[in-house]
Amino acid sequence: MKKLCIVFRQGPHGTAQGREALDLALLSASFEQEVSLVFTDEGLLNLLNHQSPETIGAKDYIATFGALPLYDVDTILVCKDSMKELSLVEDDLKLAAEVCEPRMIASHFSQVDEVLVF
Amino acid sequence: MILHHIQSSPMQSSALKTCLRYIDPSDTILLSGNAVNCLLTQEWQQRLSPYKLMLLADDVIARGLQARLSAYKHIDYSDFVEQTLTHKKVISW
Repeated sequence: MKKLCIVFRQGPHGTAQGREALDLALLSASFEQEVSLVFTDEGLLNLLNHQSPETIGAKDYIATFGALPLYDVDTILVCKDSMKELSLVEDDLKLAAEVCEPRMIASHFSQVDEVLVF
Repeated sequence: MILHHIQSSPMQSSALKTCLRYIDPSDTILLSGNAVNCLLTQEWQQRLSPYKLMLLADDVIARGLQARLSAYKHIDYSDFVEQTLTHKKVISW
């Protein structure tokens, strides 16, 4: 059983990175891997409330973030610096995530087996 | 001890900038592809000076930058493989 950390670094909809990252997260979790997620830079925008991707014909994978608890993905870290940079607050996010300092994310990276950045 | 692998220039992607936010002083940075270009600028020479830094030789030679980047450690592909084994893990940003 591997500890896999998936990093969301890019904003949703402009590229397929966010959707691919979430697909990998759910797939790995369904294969009993211990999956954790980290959101940094514009990756945080994946978690923003009140999105309507269908407006530009983009697939609404954002709703699927709600399925994460069902897959036992409970470690979800959000970078505090990125929150500040994008002037977001916790209420703006659709998930109960742990907002933490970069050095906590850095130590998480050293504890897991693999880190994949999208 | 993590090997951070950067393949894009800071002018084209924020991968290197984001990597530096989470890097540990004991980690190593490997620059390949367009990422090697950043060492031509003073800004990135300074920002990367605290870290163990390696460049993929082929990508430097391909871009004709051997002389300009001679101050840095150039490694070949077999060194690259060896580095991935001596580090706890590799993060490709």
